[in-house]
Amino acid sequence: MAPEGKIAALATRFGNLGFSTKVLLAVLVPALLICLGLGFYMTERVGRDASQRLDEKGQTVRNLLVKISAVPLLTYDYEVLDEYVKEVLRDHEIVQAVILGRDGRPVTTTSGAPLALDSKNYRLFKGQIRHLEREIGQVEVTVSLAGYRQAVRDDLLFLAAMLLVLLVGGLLVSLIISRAVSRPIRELAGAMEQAADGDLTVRAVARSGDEIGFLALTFNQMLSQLQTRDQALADHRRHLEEEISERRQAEMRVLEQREFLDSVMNSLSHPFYVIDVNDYTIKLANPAARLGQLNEITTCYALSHRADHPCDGVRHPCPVAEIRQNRVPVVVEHVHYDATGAPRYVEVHGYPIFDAQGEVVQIIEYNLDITERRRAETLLKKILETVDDGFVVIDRDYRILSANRAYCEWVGKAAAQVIGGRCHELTHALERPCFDDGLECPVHQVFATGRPARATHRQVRTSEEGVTRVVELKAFPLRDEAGQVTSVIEIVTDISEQVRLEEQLRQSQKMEAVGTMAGGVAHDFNNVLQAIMGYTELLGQRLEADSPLRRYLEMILSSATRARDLTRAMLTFSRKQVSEPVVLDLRELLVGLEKLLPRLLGEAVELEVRIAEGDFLVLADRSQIEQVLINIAGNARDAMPDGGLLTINLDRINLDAADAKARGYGEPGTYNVIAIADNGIGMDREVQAHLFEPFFTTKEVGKGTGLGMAIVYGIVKRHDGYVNCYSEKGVGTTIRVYLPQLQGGRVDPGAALATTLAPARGGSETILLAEDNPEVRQMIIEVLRGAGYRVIAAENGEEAVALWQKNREDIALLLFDVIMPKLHGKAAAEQIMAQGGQPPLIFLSGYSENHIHRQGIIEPGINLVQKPVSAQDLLRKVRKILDAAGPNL
Amino acid sequence: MKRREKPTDGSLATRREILQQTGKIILACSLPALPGFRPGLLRAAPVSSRPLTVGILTPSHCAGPYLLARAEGFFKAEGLAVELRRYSGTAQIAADLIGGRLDFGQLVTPLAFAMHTGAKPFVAPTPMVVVQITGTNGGALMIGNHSKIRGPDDFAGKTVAIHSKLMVHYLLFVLFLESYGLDYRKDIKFQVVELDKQVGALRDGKVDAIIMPEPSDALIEEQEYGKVYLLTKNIWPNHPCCSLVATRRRYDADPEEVKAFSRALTLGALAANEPDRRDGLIDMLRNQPGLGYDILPRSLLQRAFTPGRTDFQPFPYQSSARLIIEIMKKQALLDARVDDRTLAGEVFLSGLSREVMRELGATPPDSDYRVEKVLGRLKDYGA
Repeated sequence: MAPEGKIAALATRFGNLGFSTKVLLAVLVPALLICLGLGFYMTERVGRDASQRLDEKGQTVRNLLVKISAVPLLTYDYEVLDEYVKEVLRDHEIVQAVILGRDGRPVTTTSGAPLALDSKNYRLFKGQIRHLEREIGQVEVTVSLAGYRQAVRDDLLFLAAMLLVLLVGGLLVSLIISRAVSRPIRELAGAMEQAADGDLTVRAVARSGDEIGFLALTFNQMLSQLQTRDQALADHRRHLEEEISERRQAEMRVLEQREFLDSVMNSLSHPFYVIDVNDYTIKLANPAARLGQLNEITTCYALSHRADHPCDGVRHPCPVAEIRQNRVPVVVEHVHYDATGAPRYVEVHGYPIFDAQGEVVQIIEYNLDITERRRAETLLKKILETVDDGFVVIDRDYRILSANRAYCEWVGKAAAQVIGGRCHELTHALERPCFDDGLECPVHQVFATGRPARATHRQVRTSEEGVTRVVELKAFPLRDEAGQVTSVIEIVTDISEQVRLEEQLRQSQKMEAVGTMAGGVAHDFNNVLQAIMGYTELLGQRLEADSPLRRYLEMILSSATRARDLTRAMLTFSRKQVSEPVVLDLRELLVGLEKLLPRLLGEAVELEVRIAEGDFLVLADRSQIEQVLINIAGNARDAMPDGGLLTINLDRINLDAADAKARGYGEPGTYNVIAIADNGIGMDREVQAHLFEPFFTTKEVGKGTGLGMAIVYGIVKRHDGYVNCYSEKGVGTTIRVYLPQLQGGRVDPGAALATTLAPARGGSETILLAEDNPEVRQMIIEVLRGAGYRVIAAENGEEAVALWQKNREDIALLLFDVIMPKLHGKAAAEQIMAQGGQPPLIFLSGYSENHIHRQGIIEPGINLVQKPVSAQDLLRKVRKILDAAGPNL
Repeated sequence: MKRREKPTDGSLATRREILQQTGKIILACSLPALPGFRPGLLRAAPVSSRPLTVGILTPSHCAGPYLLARAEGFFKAEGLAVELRRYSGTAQIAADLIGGRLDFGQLVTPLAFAMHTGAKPFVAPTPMVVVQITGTNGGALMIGNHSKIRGPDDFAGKTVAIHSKLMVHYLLFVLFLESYGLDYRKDIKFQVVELDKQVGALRDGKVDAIIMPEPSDALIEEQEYGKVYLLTKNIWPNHPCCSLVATRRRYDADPEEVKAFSRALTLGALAANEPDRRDGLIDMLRNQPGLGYDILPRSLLQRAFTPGRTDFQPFPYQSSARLIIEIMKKQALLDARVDDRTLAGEVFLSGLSREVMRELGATPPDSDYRVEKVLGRLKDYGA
């Protein structure tokens, strides 16, 4: 049994004891406990005191002996020590005292009774005898505990006697009390038992005037009152039973109504609450309100807004506050949060509930989730606000019902000014509809026909004075439920740019035609030049070195060379020039150009060329790069009509990925940079933005083609380079051309010069020449034969093939014009290849690159010589190809 | 009657007896101022008209009875004119005694035996008599604060100052060291320093310890220059310190005068020995200008003249003389062939002292011998 159980059982048993016994126990047990406690306390106290006294005595005697024994011990006066010991032993509690010398042996002859020293009966006190801090002996004093024990025994006996007296006295007192008290209590108890059995007529006997007698009288009065109240209670009980029965029936009815209401609410798929208007607590909610999952939430703002306070009514009206104030139902839109914390757009329907006094005490709230609808609306609105086309809804009065951002910007007014305005007022500044002025109005057409319509208007934007814009108007009907067109949605698209581009395209096509024509002219012109240059060189070879005529020939050759360059430039303008990339040192190119450019720039413009240290090798077409620089220099010159300084810098930069990204162009790598800077009039941002566009020019009509910088851009791009512009109005312009550094390539200027200037070597091989132009053909024949070659000449491709068949064993090289009557050079070459011929081949071309490509002639590995070509250049090319092919078999 | 005295506290008369006797004497000294005074209560008339010259060592406790006798008029009461001469060393007193320049001298007791036998440092014997003892106990072995001496063994290798090897205190200290196994000749360096320079030597750390009579020991304690290692009375309780010494010739020349002088001095010693009169003794000493006591605080002198620590028992026991002679012979300060009993009997005038004391009404010991106790051992020389 648990301790608590035992205590309870003891309490029960005590409660069942008779009154006399209880009194007896009540007196005797405390008395016994007090005596025992007192006894133990006194015994312990007496024992402790006696023990302490013994300790003090032992310590005192020991300390005394220690103090007085030092000098006698030091001076061997043991007799005195013996006397000290004897004196000490006169105390009967000190049973032994010994003084020990330095060697630990007793020096005193008297020590007391021999003892079986055990700590149970004796207590030993030891002390060191010191003289000037040095130990010279010891004192041992033994104190007997017999006296202490006797004192304790005496105290215990005294306590036992006291206890016995108390017990006897307590017993007598308790017997007297129990006799005096228990009898009237027993009689009273008997009467109570009888009354408890239901006999309220019984009465107790009051034998005395004390508390028990008073209790008996009170008991009798109580019985009398009980008799009276018993009757009243019986009547009241009957009345209560009737009332309870009626109330139960009413509760049943309420319960049924409640169940019905619950089933209705539970069937609702939308959240439904009843909210107390005073503290916003939710009094009732259906399952859709999610209160079951969020049972800790008790207020509407905590549930719907995740807030710890009611709505402030700023962002959206609080239905509770509104109804409490206005006392009428409300519908408001809120953002609530669902169980995942996601915001939901909700349409809140609130209805007041009034109490008997007509005060609003609660509201019913019913929430409709309109999130998807709102999202769709928002998306549509965003789309309409995002697009650049104007969207506008117009009613039959031509009033604007709705307009998007683009439309408002188009008419240059705020949305508030646009909505409600008339379209003809806003877009045409007309007081009456535009169609009344004869304009084609698609809105009018839609209202008239009920079908979509479109039209193009030229309009002047309010915000752009004097700028005419071309807009395309598309109108679509908006119908009501009956199918009637109630309004029109009109889409306004600015097609001005599109129209401009179309015009540019037309211009471009015109220029393309001009370019094609120029290319054709240049081809023919090249043939003429080829003949002039060839014969001039042949004539030069036959003149004496000191002939006075040689100067005329040089002038002819110089003029022809300039004419060739002009032709090439023309071809480049029309972007039809065949690219001849070679390893080119830009330093050498600039040094050459430095002599040429002053003529282009005129006297008023000073030229300064700065070239950094190192090689600036690029794989490029020399003439094209020259063209780039000439075009830029020309623009610079035009930008400095009153003269100025043109600076050309050549340097190199390393463009890493970060640089390339920052500049917005270029692949990482090492670039040679040619920076051409002028201090001319400069350009504004608008001009800079269009600088490299074709057909863009700021020059007077007839002075510029609008192609110069476009050509620059094209050439640089073809060389895997980049070009950019930095300009400030009134300060000047700097154009930078980036050309990739040739990796590992190296040109030996001396060798290159030697190659260029050394007289070409000739040979004795047989060359099959096919050239339709008789002057050119004859000139080439003369040049080749003059160099020792045997030449078989054909006028066209067919003849060439035929001659090949006859002389195939002898022919070491084919030198074919690309474009020839009857059979083009390439086709003729293919036929020869098809017949097993493998001679090396050089094409001559004075025609456009475009044309050649279309013919499919130019392929990688094919040798091409651009006409007009000098005799020396031709001979070098021929010799080079023959040497590369090896001995002719 | 010769019977052995108990070697207890050595008191020769009960305290009550002494008080009664001293009271009579003081009453007698004050009688001249009273009508009907008869001088010569103890002695009818002076025996000498010339002043007696007495050499004393001050400030030493043994000089107390001389000064008290003079202050109290005991000499005058005996009809003696006495001139007390101050000395700072016993050697000068001894020399002046031998030279006849002093009638009496306060000498350290062993010196009398050395003079008598002609032992070192004397070249020839000068028969001497010890009339009475003027101081008992009153010596101490003092340790300097700087010294590491804590136990007997620590004295080895240390320097101890003495003012004479012929002082009882020195003899006892040597006995003490020997009892702890030390060879005083080898292990200890004894340095002779004049009496009035010893305290300074200890204070300045020149010596580790000194052996001195009071009140110098109390001075060292009071000034905290050092502390008591051992009182000589702890080695030999009630040992004689200084004595009233005269040449045998001077004694023989006028024994009565010597006896009269001794009577006055014995009375002074008995009075000084009385504990209740110690304060009076101290006051008297502090009122003596130029003797060294007047510069000492009263508390210091109270400490020095504490009964038991410093006493003035006058009776010269033969047994005490025998013990001193025995120790002196042991330490080669006397010729080993000297007969102890004879020498003691020749020098210590125990009979005279007994007579003097009886005449003074005091109770002298019945026997000239007592059982002496030194270092806890009892010395019984028989009767």
